[in-house]
Amino acid sequence: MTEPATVDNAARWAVRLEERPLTPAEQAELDSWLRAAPHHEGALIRARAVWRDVDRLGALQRRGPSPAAPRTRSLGRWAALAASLAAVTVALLAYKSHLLASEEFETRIGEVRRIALADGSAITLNSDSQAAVQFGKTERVVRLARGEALFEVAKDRSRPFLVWSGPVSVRAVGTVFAVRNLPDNISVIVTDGTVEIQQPQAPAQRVRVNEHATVRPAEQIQVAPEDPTVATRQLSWRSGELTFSGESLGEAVREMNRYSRRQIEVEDPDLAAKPIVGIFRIGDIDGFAQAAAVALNADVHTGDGSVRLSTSKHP
Amino acid sequence: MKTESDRFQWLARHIVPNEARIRSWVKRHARTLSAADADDIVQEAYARIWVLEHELIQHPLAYFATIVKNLVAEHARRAKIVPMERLGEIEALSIVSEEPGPERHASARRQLEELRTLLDTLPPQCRRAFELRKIEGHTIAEAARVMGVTDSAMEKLLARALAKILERMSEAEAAPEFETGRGNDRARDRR
Repeated sequence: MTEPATVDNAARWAVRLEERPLTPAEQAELDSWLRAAPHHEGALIRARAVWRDVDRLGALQRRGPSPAAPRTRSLGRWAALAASLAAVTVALLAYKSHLLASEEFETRIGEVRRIALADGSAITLNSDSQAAVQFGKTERVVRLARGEALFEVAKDRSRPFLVWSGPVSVRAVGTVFAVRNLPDNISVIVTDGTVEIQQPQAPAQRVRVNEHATVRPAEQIQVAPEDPTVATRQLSWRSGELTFSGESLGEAVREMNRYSRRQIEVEDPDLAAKPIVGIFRIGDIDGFAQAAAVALNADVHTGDGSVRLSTSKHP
Repeated sequence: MKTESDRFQWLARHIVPNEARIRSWVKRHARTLSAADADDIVQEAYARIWVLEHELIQHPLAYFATIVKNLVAEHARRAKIVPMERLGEIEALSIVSEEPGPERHASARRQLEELRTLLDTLPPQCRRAFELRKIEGHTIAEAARVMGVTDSAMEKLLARALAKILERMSEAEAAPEFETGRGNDRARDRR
């Protein structure tokens, strides 16, 4: 193992650099540490990358391995957090007041971003999505202008959490749910707790844990049970992965393409209808195409802006 | 990948989760390499991939594995201790690692389990600081207020937690099933 001092120093500088700008004195100290030995630079780069990587594991922890056990744990954590936050209400109120102004968040194609909010809630924005956050005294409001987001809502009975997607609102107190803005409908998956969906001129519809709601304009909201493993799979983008379990190649390609400027095209319909199984890194168009080709006996043609898949002529 | 932040994110996404696999390859194929030398090689590989244009790297892990392989080879040439003929095997490793499959998922779960176990061994303050900042996503200032410590004390607690994680990762090795089995054959078929 590298001598402990290198690891300790790398960790110390990584935390500082990741969390705030350095003072000029610190910068000078860092420069001299980096010059002191050639392996210090690599140690620091690795430490900073690991610091980032922990966020992915944090997201996994929040999702939890099964719906039952981690739920109580996460509720316990929220409760503990709420209690500790109460002790510092004054300080946080000052901090929160600037959030009354709307804050905008946007992700580019291929980017997934988790945003921690001042109340302890968090939004994970999927690829190519946009949301505006506005927290007031009586309501916490998020407008999902485009794309898809997962909301982990911290309990606050006095301030419901409202997500607006077009004319539809989803209201929650303390729960976890995902909202996806599709061209012809809005999809809501609840993985913890209960939400209430409100459409203009219609009664509110409750959607409970492990249910999936589809909202279409001027139609009754459809609510269907969702297998928790399916829900987990559909939300696997949070950890930078897409999971397919028998979806058609066509559907899987549509999902993969959401995360990439380079697009996969499937030439013949028979091929597009074949089922595909696997876990893929989002944005890894080539890896996906190669795996699909091996699994479904297809050929890969790599072009500049796209990757084509066609049925292999040589079985 | 324009900003520095994006570049670290890229490393975090593509390289860090697979570090254990790279290390276990190094351990198996360069047995005479000391742990300190293996650490230096992995760190140097981070430094080398860091300066590259990440957008142009289509298979990050394969690329990283190649850098490691070259560094091991360089080291072997200098020290004349590593059986050179085995170095070619890293190619199999790099392709298998890019292979999507359930094992990647298992790997993330295992890493999470390891992180939890590791957090349990930290002093309570250190652990709480880390959870507030990294698991629950609070800023340092918020977390410091919650814990009633200064921002600078908070940074020290976080640095200690990170140092532990880095040390643990240096000792970690991937389970053997990651590098054998069906993925291997499929990878060869494709080449």
